[in-house]
Amino acid sequence: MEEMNIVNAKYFKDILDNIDGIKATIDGQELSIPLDPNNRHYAEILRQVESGELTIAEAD
Amino acid sequence: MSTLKVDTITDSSSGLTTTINGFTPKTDNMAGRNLIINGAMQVAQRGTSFTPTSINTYSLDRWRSEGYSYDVDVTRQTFTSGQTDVEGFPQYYVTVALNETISAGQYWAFQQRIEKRQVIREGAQTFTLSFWARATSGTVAAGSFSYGISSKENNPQLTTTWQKITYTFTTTISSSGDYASCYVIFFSPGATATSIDIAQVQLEVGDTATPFDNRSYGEELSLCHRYYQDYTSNTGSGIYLNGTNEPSSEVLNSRFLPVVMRANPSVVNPTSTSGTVGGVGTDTRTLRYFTASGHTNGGFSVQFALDSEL
Repeated sequence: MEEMNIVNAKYFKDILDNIDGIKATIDGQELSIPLDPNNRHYAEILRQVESGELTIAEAD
Repeated sequence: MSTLKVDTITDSSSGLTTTINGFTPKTDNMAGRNLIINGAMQVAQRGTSFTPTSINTYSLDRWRSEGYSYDVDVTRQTFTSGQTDVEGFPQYYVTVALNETISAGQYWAFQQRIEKRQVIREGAQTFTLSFWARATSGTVAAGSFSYGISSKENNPQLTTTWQKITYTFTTTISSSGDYASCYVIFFSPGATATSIDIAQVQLEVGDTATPFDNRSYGEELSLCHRYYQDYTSNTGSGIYLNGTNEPSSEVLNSRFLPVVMRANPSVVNPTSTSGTVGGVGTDTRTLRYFTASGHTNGGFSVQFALDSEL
């Protein structure tokens, strides 16, 4: 089964300057993704990071 | 006031439950039987016509493409008002058209992920899946597709006349994972170009296909909002924010969501009428904040969707 195509993954900070999510392009859509393992996008990001397929850039 | 304690209440002639204050409760008129959400294809927050070239793609609310990328069209259609071919006067059906042959070792499916524990219970149970189907044109040969949860049944031959399909099966809903996948159209390797019309999909506990459990649009939309909320021009409108220039990278406008979502949602394709949207914070109950750069003083709107699908 094909997996999500995730590119341009980068952490973002909230208004208090804490890491709060990831911006990424998934299957052509721009997403802001919360750090919630029950979120399907974040779960897939974790899986691809674990397998070495994906790297998340640091926040600005 | 007295209290009546009995195990069974039946009427004296047919054995049906007796009438209480003018209402006769039966399995086919009790609400809440259908485990499928949007089985009547009423809710279409993402639009009504899709070419899901990638998998993991949702089309009509809660309905999902699974498998491998194929040339497929998913289109919501409208019944002729007052038609009697499909019982219950439904308003919509969906046409699922596979336009090429499924390769060896691959598949494509039109299916729904049913949330475990909250919607479908864990354990060994008997279910009945029912839906109406027909060939969009000509005939669809028997065995062209299959349907079910773990075990699947092959379709009978379909013509352009609607027919109700039912499949009763026993399966164990395991405790692992967050969902059970219910397949309505599963194209296996070798399946060729086929177009099928589907209406009134229902999955219920038990060995009987009862009449379709009609829910109002508002009820169905609320159920769908647990998984997806649209704030774009598809079905709604953006959220109006009041911007300030200082600091130009922050716009703080938290909002309560109309329905608590399944998980903290992803924010999909956020766009703004002023400036560029950056990170957006969410949780299951609120849109916590927006960040934006280059926005100006005064009001502007942002459009986006919230996704906490399974």
